[in-house]
Amino acid sequence: MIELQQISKVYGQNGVTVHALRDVDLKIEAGEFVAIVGTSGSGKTTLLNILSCMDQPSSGRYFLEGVEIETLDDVKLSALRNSKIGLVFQSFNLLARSTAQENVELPLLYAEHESDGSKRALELLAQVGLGDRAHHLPTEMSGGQQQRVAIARALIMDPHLILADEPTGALDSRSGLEVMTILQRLNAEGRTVAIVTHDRAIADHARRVITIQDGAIVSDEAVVTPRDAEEELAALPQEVQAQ
Amino acid sequence: MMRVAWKGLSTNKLRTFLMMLGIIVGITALTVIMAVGEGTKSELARRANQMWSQAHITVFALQPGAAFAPGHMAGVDGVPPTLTEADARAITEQIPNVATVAAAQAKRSVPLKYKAKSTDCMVFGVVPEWQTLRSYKMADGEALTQEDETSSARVCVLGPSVVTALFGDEEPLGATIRIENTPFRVKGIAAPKGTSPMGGDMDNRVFMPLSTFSRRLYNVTSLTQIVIALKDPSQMRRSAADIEALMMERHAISGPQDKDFSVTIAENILKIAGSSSRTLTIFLAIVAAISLLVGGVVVMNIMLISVSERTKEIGIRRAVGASEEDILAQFRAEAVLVTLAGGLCGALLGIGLTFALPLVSKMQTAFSWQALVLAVLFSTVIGLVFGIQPARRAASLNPVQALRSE
Repeated sequence: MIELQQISKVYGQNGVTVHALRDVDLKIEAGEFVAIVGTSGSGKTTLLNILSCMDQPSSGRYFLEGVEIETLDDVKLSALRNSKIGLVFQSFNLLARSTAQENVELPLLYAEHESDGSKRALELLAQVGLGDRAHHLPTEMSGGQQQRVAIARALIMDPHLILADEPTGALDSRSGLEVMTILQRLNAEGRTVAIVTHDRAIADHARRVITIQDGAIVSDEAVVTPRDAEEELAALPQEVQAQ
Repeated sequence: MMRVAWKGLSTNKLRTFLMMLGIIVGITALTVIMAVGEGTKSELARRANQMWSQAHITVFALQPGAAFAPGHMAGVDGVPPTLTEADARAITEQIPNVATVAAAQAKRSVPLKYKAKSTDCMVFGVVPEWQTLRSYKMADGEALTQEDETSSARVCVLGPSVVTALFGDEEPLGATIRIENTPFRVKGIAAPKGTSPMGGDMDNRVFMPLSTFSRRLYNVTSLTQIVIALKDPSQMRRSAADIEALMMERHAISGPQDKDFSVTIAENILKIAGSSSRTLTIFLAIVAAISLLVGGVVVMNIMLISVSERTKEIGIRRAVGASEEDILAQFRAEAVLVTLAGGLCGALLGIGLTFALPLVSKMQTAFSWQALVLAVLFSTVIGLVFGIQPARRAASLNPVQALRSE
């Protein structure tokens, strides 16, 4: 599904240059659940930005479902982002003045084939447990709820690939586990999921952990028994509903 | 795309209103200017029609080389005695399209006296046809007749202003007034005609038979004007050219500095009379253009601020699949929507003023659809032109950095 060959990314022009990525080779097959871990500044977010076609590598080749990304222009890249990749961010990145439903429907606006997605948007919101929050603004929701709206948005175009950058980074542990539960479920449904995290405990929910350091992959190992977010969630002490 | 743009605008109403303000002022001004321009034009046309029907050509006597200046019609003593009855006859005989020719003489500041009262005014000696061609109507009494002309009768028709000046409340018909100390019987009162398109008072005039004027009073045979009615008015320009050529030949004119006449059609009078109001219109149009320009710059600046404030939004849109073109289109649509809305508000305000102005001032206005179309067109163009730079900036943002901004 994903193949990176000798990918490098260099920031800064004349004078000071920073090598964010150095000759990264990476293959991710369809249906995998990959966690990319590393300390801050290790280059993991840069890697994710390149995977999501938001950023272009300085050198190297990137094939996504057999298509070489470098050959695509902005319109095709955008279409690809729109239809093939679902993005989830640490800071949710919802439009502040739009309701949950409008946020979920946003990608449809840029889809090649226009369609009325309000029904599907409501379904997706229900799937992430926010069926009753469709008309709420992001400011009226908790961080965990916002992140679930963002996941619903990532799913509206039914992409094969979900990329998440520190999806639990801004959440408390319960909300984080809820998000991981959803991501594990999406992977179980057959979607390829790649997350970036600095949290080893979160990474252990994936089936493969890639460690990146100073812009290079230093380890790439399978997780024999991934943690099950749903079980962990059930094991958490029952929260008293604030009323 | 328009819906997205609408949402982008409606979330910050004050900013949107400020963006519209300059456009509103500019388009309002533009609409009013056009309405006043149209109003002035139709008012001039109305006055011109009142003075003479359009289908006439007039040959005026002129000082050699002088430009024809309406509103300052010269008398017999102000022009060379070169325009004659012979010219009038030649025009009748040699220009096939000519139907009627009416010769006239005039003199400025002629002293009039009735009992103890005296005044002065412009006195015309005219053939009877002249009165019809220049559409003078009688308010009372009778017009000058062919018999008056043949007998060089000492009769006159008074303009209403003259009647007021000399008679007050007394009955003028049948009374005897003295013109240049010669007694004349008042046989008719002309209906009021108001102001000529050039601003002359057409009511402060006295008319007498041409023969009386030339033989009894002043002993001059030269004319100050020849009015010509055409058989086929649609050929006016051609006939005017023919008359011009004939006159050039008869007066042996070699160059414009020698020209002692002017062949004038109503259209030309309107053109000259309209030129002063046109200057005002141009000035106002410049003011409107400047305010539109300023409005456009304001739109551009606020849009630029808006783009930098909404960097994150742009990043989010890019992340979910908006291309540079999509972002460009969104911000361009916002700019056009703002200016178009401003333009429509301005046009509505302008139309309101179009109808309100004549009620509170002497200004004449006329509503024109062109103004509305122009307003929409102008404001759209302004939106497109001044929206380009902000839209380009928005589109060219690096999506990764845009997302990271707060």
